[in-house]
Amino acid sequence: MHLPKTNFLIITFTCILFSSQFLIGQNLKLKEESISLDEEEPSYRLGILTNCILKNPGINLNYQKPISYSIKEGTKRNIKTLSINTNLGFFWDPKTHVATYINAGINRRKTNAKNRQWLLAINPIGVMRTFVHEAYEVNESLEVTRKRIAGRSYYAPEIIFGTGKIKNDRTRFFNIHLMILTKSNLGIFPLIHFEFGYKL
Amino acid sequence: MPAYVYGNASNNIFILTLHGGPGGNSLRLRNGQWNETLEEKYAMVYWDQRGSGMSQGNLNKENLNFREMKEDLKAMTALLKHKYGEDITLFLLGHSWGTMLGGGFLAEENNQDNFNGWISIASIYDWCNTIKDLVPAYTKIASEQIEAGNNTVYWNEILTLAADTDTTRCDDVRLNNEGPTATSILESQGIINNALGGFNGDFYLNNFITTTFNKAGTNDFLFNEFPFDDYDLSEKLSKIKIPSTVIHGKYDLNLALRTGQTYFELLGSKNKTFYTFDKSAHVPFHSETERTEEILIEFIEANK
Repeated sequence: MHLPKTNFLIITFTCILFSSQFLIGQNLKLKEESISLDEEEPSYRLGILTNCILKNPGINLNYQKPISYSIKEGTKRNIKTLSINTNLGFFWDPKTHVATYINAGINRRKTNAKNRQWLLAINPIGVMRTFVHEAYEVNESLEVTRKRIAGRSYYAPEIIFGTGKIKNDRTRFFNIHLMILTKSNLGIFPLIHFEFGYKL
Repeated sequence: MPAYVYGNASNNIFILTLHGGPGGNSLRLRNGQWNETLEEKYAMVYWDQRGSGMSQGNLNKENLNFREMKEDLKAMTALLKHKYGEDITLFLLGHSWGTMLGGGFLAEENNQDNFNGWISIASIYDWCNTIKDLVPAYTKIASEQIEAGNNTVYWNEILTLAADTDTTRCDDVRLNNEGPTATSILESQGIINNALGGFNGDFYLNNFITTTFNKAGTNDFLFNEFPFDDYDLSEKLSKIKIPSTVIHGKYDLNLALRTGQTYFELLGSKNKTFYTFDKSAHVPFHSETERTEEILIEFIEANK
């Protein structure tokens, strides 16, 4: 059977229309179910940073804007959220330097029925800048001058693994930040930070 | 390149330390034992060399090499005089790789004029001769240990390895790599004292991942990217005329005692002393802390 061209277009258009309605309806349904959940609202998270030997204190401010989410019902009910996420951080190495960084990317969060959360964030866009406490420059004539603002800038993408818990409407979390600095000395350099914090 | 200054600067005597590696960490030298007494009397300068410790940079073959590192040392000397005054008294102290850097630096131009003395601990002057010296050192110590009935299986393996080492190849580093294991076995037998010393807060305050990562990269790079001739000081050490003291562990299995003795013999100074530390391996200032302090204080007081 060959449909006339006009009929084919009408049927195709109708299918798309109904499909759209179906999809829109599904989204609306999800929104209604999760209206009390925080996964659909932009949020800020503030954490205290340390390096992996619990030294070099710092602060990390995180902003997340959800772009989609899904709810799985049943005995293993969970909510999966995909968000755009941005970090602005600062840490202090008492011996040598302070550093500040900003990065952005996406994260995937899963919240289970017991309000336990798991996070994976990939932030491919990132920069870090260090500032050394006291720096001098010595030229070829061995003349010494003090440098006011000395340090280095790095391309610094980051991966974050985390876990959290929602309790009494308060979300607490623990994240592990793995940042890659490049170019650092001969190549790349891994920087690991632990973050403990709250959703604001 | 960070430099950390600790101690008593009131009498204007500074000891500029050169860590090992290459690629090591200056604060690893400051373990709170051997340097406590020294810091009471003098200012100790712990400097992370290029590509080492907590140093930051964008490095490649053009700027990470022996020549540039010697230039850094010249700049560090100028900086100390700028910050603390032209009238300060400077001593240079090198350990392991630091003795090659310091020796190479002092032998050039008039660099030694800025220093009142050179302290060389666990010395190295030429990588190829280091390999040659390690073979009889391992053979002797392994034979002694087998005769004494200590860890005979391990030391027999070492004898085989020593016999198998190709001393015509400067890159046969298997015996050098065996140093830490052999040293820890000697320490467990009580033949040498505390081999590595403790760690103190200063070391941990550094991001130890940073230092470990930098060491691996810089160490491999400096030995793999340049010909071994670049590191030969055999013809240069005779130019060093300032007072010198050389300390070497009898059981040093990273750099053999014979290597240290040759370093001492090659030095051009007429005022020089060699000390063998009988209960030490590669880090005599950790193994025989008090003796190190006594020798260094005596040397500095005599030449300040």
